[in-house]
Amino acid sequence: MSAHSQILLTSSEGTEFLIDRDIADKSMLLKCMLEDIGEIGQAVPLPNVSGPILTKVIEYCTHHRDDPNFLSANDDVTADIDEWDLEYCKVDQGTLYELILAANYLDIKPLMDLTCKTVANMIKAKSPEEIRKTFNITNDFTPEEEDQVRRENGKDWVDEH
Amino acid sequence: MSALRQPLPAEILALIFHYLEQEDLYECLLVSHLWHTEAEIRLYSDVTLDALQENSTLLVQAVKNRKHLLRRVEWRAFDVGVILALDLMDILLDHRPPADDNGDINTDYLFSFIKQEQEDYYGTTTPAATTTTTALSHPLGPNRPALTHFSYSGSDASWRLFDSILYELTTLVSLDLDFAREGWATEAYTIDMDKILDSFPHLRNLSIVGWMHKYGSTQTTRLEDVSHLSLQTSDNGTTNGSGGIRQHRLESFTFTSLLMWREGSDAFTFFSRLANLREIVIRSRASSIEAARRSRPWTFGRALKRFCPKLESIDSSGQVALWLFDLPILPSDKISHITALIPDPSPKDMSGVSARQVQPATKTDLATRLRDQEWEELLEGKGGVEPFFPQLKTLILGWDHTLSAQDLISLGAQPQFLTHLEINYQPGNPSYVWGMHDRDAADVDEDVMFKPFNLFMESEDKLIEDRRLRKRRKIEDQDVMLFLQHCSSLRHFALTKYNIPFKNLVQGNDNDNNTGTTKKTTAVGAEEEEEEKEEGPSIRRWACEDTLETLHIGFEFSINEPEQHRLVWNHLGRFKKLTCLTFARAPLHWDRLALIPSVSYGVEGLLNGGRRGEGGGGGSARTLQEIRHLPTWWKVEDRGAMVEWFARACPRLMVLGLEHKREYVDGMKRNPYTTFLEEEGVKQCSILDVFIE
Repeated sequence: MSAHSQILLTSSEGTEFLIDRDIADKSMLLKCMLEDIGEIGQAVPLPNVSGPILTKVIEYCTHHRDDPNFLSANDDVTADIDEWDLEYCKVDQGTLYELILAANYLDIKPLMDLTCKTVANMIKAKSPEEIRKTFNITNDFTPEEEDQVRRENGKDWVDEH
Repeated sequence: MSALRQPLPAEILALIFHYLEQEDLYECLLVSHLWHTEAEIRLYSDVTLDALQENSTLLVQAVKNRKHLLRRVEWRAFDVGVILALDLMDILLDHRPPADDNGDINTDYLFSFIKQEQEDYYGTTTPAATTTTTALSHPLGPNRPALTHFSYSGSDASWRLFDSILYELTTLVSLDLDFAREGWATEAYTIDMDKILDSFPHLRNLSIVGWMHKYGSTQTTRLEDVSHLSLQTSDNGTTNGSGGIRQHRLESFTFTSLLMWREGSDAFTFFSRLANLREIVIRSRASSIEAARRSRPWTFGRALKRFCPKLESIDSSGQVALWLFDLPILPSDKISHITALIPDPSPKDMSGVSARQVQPATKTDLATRLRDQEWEELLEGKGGVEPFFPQLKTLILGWDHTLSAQDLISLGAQPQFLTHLEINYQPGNPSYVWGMHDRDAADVDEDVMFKPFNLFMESEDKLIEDRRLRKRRKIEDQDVMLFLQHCSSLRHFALTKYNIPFKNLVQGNDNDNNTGTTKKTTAVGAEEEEEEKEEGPSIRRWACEDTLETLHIGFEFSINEPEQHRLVWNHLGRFKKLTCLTFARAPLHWDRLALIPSVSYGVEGLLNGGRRGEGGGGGSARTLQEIRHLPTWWKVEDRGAMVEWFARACPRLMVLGLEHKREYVDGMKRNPYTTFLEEEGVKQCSILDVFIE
């Protein structure tokens, strides 16, 4: 198979995407599948990924197409995010969540790292109340339950806030 | 960006929590019930219990109520005392000692372990005889965690107690033991390798290091199977680890040199169960005298070759005698080609021998001839040279390593798999290694085994005898160069803590006062020499030009020879995939300098690798992403301009580390010159991270 071969993908709503093989190979799911069964010339259905999200995923893989360290680079969980990636993640929360699910499903580790880190950064160094506000969560704890949580965990909560 | 705030789906929470630190996870516990569940799983699946830490009692209590969540436990303890052991048993085994009449915990049977140990220690019973450890007197509880990872660091005091807990953790995938030499450490603990393999059928990673007595092996009944296996393998020349022995799935094994010092013909037979082993890590704190006396590098190498055919990676540090190739001793009647190198002093033979051998002989000359002959032999794989680790991809050798020149050259000649080599320069020179030879071979007398004083007796006979015995020698610069000229699969190479002097980097250097010997080193592969025949010295091309991705190396130059720098920059420009270039720390001598990154010293060689006719581009400047320890201290005022030059030349460069060296103004030490970092050109350039290191 030549390096320039192309792969057809179908999103959940049936939209077809024609991408280069090396782009598809960024996804471990697709890579393993293509290695196992070969290129059969039929579209690969991705029922878990919608068209707009798949567009976004392909955008990421295309940008990092020639990254030699694509798989090894982001081992450090706390590593900084580069500028293009930062810009890439400036989407609404719903899209971000869907990107995480897509990256997880397609097994694209760097995209997974990037999107999860972006959400994790929204949680870091925040109080429970601030976290609730950020993610629009209602507090379903009673004060007694909250006390219990504080009591039962191996942390000294006394100094907090 | 939309202001829409949507709650996180539960399935994503678990994924995201992997990227949070403990402190943040504690906050997440209080957000909502859903978050609490997910954060709790994350917090208590991977727990570090440190007996010396302040909150340990709180944490131990919290963990006791969530045993079912535990997957990984890291336990740090000074000693396994009775109190800690109670916690351990409760947490790891869901097991509490029977209560006494008052309802208090009955610690008597715990003390029985301790008592047994004291008896061992004071010699009332022999430790070897009491191999059966006291079993736990009660069954394990229903909330026993499904541990996959367990690591313990602490002393080996109360090891019977420790044993009785450890061997119950049968679900482990990864086990990590580090015995410290503190507290009541006895250094009497014997690790039973066979029992470990039997008790943990799922184990993939095993690490046992630190201060204990030895690595033991209780099962000797397998010896027959193994000798049968060895017959099989010597017949067809391939290793087949599965001959009648059930193979364990262990893939990675970390141990100390104690394991390599086991004695007897069955010392390494338990490796016959480890045909799936891919990685070994050897950590040694032994002295060189101990290592000299007890090392058995051939037996060990041959055992691993036979039993562990999948081994890909070796990482060692400290005094570890490890040979990578089998270089069998030459029988006395097969060394005519070696003795032929001795120039005959009597003139009557002059007509019969070649002109080369008639040169006035010195010992150095003979040593060089012997080395060249050996190089040739190794590069051609002649003389029974066989790799102990035929699948080796990664070799990392730390301080005090004992890689020999012979092993290095052979590695270069068999490069189909080797991609990663990291070696430290060896100033320590563990000299015992160079006195060793194949002491396991049948045809060697015991008394020629190890004579350290031989090292000082450099007679010609000794040189010949060393060559016959195939004694290893220390790696020199020329060996490294030869290796790099031959190893074509390398992706990562590091020679750390060393600067190669320019004269050792080049061939055919006429300025070299040692002309005779230099000429001879270039005799190997003379055909290449011709195509690059130019005036002056040149650096022979490395075989890994197309594959090398990271390079860590140091150079030593004179500031007055810009041409030398130019040659090296051109050389560095030839690599097609080089992304990370790290220079060794600058030489210590004040009149010696590292590679100077300046246009007047030929740094533009990075752009095209010195191929002037090819219209530029294509040099490693195009692929470089990271340059570290760039020597910039030599001239203060140019630094800003130089950073900008690199930014223009290397479009992908993200990280540029500039080496700091103490600077003196009028004899006063001052802080490193950093103001150029604030220059507009430097701040605006495309390199993300420019810093002084």
